[in-house]
Amino acid sequence: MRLLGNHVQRRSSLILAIVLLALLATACGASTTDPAAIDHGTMAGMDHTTMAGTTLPGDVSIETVHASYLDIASNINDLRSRVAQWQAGDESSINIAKEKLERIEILLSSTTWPTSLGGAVAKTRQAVSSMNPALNGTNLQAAVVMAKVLGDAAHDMTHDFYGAWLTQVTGQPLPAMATHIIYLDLSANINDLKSRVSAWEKGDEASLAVAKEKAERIQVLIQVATATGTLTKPLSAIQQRLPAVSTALERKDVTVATAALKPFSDASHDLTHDFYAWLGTTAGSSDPACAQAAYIDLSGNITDLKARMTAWEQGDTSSLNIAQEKMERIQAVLAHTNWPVPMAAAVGKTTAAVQAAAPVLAKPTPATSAAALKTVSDSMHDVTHAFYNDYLPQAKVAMHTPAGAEAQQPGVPAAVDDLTTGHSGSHGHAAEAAAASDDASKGWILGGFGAVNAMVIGTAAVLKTRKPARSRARKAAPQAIPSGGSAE
Amino acid sequence: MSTNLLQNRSLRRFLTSGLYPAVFQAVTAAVFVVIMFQLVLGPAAAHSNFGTAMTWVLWWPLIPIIFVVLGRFWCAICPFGTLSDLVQKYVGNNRPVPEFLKKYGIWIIDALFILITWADHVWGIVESPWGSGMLLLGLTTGVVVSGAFWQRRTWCRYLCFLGGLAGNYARAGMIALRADPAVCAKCKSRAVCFNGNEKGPGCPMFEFPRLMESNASCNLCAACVKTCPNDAIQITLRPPTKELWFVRKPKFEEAFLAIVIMGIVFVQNVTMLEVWNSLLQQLQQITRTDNYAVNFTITFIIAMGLPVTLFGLAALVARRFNDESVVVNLTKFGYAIIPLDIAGHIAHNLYHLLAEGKAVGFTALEMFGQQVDTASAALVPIPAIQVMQYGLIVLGALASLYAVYAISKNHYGQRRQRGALISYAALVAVLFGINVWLFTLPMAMRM
Repeated sequence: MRLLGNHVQRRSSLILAIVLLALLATACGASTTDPAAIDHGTMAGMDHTTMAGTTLPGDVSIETVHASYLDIASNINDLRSRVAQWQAGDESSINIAKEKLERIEILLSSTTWPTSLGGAVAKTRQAVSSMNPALNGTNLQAAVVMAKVLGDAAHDMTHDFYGAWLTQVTGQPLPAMATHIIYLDLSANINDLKSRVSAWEKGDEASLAVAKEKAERIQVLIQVATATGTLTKPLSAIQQRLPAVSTALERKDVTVATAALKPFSDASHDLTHDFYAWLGTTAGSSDPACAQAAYIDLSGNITDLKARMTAWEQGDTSSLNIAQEKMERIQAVLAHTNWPVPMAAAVGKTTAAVQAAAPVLAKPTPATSAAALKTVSDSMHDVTHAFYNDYLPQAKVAMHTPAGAEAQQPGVPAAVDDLTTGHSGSHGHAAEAAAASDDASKGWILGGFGAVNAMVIGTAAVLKTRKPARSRARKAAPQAIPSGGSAE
Repeated sequence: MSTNLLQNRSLRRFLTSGLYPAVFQAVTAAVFVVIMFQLVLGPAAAHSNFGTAMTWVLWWPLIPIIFVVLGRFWCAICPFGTLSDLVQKYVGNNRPVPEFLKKYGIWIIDALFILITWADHVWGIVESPWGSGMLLLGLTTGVVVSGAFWQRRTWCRYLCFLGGLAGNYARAGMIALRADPAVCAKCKSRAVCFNGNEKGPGCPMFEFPRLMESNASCNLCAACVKTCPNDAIQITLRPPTKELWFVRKPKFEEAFLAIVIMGIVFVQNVTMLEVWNSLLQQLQQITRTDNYAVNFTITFIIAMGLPVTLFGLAALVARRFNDESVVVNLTKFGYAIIPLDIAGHIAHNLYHLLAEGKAVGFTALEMFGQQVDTASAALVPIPAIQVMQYGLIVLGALASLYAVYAISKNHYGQRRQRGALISYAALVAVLFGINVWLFTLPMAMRM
């Protein structure tokens, strides 16, 4: 009896230990929840609607998808041109191409993609992984082939993005913060339209089809932008002037198209002016989509600034004014954005560099401007690194499989409910809340595994303790010798 | 019989000591903990994750090579096996293996293996550290359940998806563990090698060395070497694939797994090729959906079905000559494809191992906060890898051809042998051709 008592005591201790382990595992799971999520939850009522991110069923954020798509498209273009440069003999392009590829990978994996883009994203992913061996093995021939494949995948993605995805979300109410990324896309397409019409005018017939495509995209983007409720005046002006351009393109009337482009161009200029004015008067949220849009804008403007200053140094005096305008925009973006913590140090350095460069560029000399620009450029390099390597992977702008994204049509009540009333995570920091909630769900999954395993072990321990002595005696006895090579 | 390696005193002393396999188990368990930690809590991007690199760039490519060289030695030191042993030691109920597992275990293994391969492609398990972590955690739970309730290594023998593969590959392995039948005939120890004694436990894999004919389930844990009072256990070297020539009791499910593995090698190769994108596009036009899961599943079924169909056709032809049914033909000759399976498997993974091998070092350095420049992760130039791949495929095809010949010769007389031999030789040639074609195309990387 005494022995049995000791045995039970030992087993009880073991069971107690297991139960504690289970509780610990569950608690560990819960504790991985980002405390920020709790903060945002309580802040929800305070930071309402104006800067709210749009989380759709399946935690797909319209703004994030848009920003990631633009960034990926841009990086794929850069990558392809780097491969082309490599083909032309520039060996240094290999490392830059690798960097671009890595960025594309990060963007693909850190974004929650809607189902309607799933096929194109999978294709792009496949193409990216196919490009890897070519670049790592410095196999130029394979890289050229893979660049073509990647270009095709990007083309499909663009087609699905504008043709399927944006059309789907058109008409849904969007937060003001979405203005930034939509503006960037709209602005790029408007510029492309203008240059394509110009090329067509000069005899490049192929540009006509591209111009038509751009006009269609602008039309879709205006409709999406209207849902933000911002910049209504310039958007309305563009919307009014676009049909004249589109009709002329359809009729293949280059003279009318060029003429129609002038008022359209003026409206787009007003849009840019109003956008940066709006940016200067609003405060950005720390939503990942906001940070993404701001990064793309900042990066683009700094590149333009450098190009304009180079042009100015080469004698193009008009470029100086444009460079100064770019500088103002850079300052506006830097000030507007609520930069996330992993980027804060690099952005701080850039802000200081920009502040130091601004007066220099007001009255520049080639020597002083070059030095000032170098500081800005170097610090921007740090921002880029922080954005792709530190911020995006941990921000996890996408943590969930894009299930349910197809249910985003306005007609689906659940989706509309989520968007109009704003569910728990969508007040101001949707993607952050989504990230936090993802961390939380991961924590619960891990805790769940721990708890299940502990329960199994606990149950086994209990059953073992209750096993009758007779059964144990039988276990101790030798087993029957199997007839075959094994117990089977 | 060739030289008994246990005649080497140092080796025998080591295998019979408490250090074996504990010392290896401790190392693999420690590495496993680091890998799990990295997969679940480490960098989200696969190319920066040490767990992903260790699992899919180092371990997964090495595992078929280990099976061929050392049989199922990995199973003896596998961290899952160690976990099962630990759970069993402290809370194990040691219940007998359920009959359904004994009866259908290999089918469960087949199904699990196919399911995991499918899931990897649809949900990107290899590309996602978190996904890989979830896979390993899921397996951990299965191991805990098995160890807590059932005897010995029920998981490894009847449920582990890798166990089925390991069993098949180990048949082609170079190491054989057998008992000396003459010594065993005089043994009065009441089968301590199966039941265990004070020197060690009984065979964890439910094997009875005296009657063993195959190394498919032996994990070389040396428990029988420790417990045998008569030193009857012998470990010998043998020509690779030799066991396949004399399978006395062939099983359809094992042969089926061997055939299906060829399909899995095809899927793994095809989806990593440049041609995959255009195939996918064509498939999308046919299915009228761009849903990747749907299109991949169709491809997967076709790839799985291709070797099965080809084998079925070969069996249909062969039955005219050997007067056996198609199923019996598949069962007997299915094993012959194992060398080509292994060659295709190793050749595919050789690419990941040698073209991405440095990623293990890079990610390890990154884990300790060291910045690594974007230098190439390749250990060997890609053309050199391709030469090795072709070499392996040729070796595999030759070994499969010889296995077809040996199986045919052992089962049938000279008259019935020739027709079947030609039929299966043609099959091996077709599969060889497909493999060679696949390896001529550029392949993607895992990291």
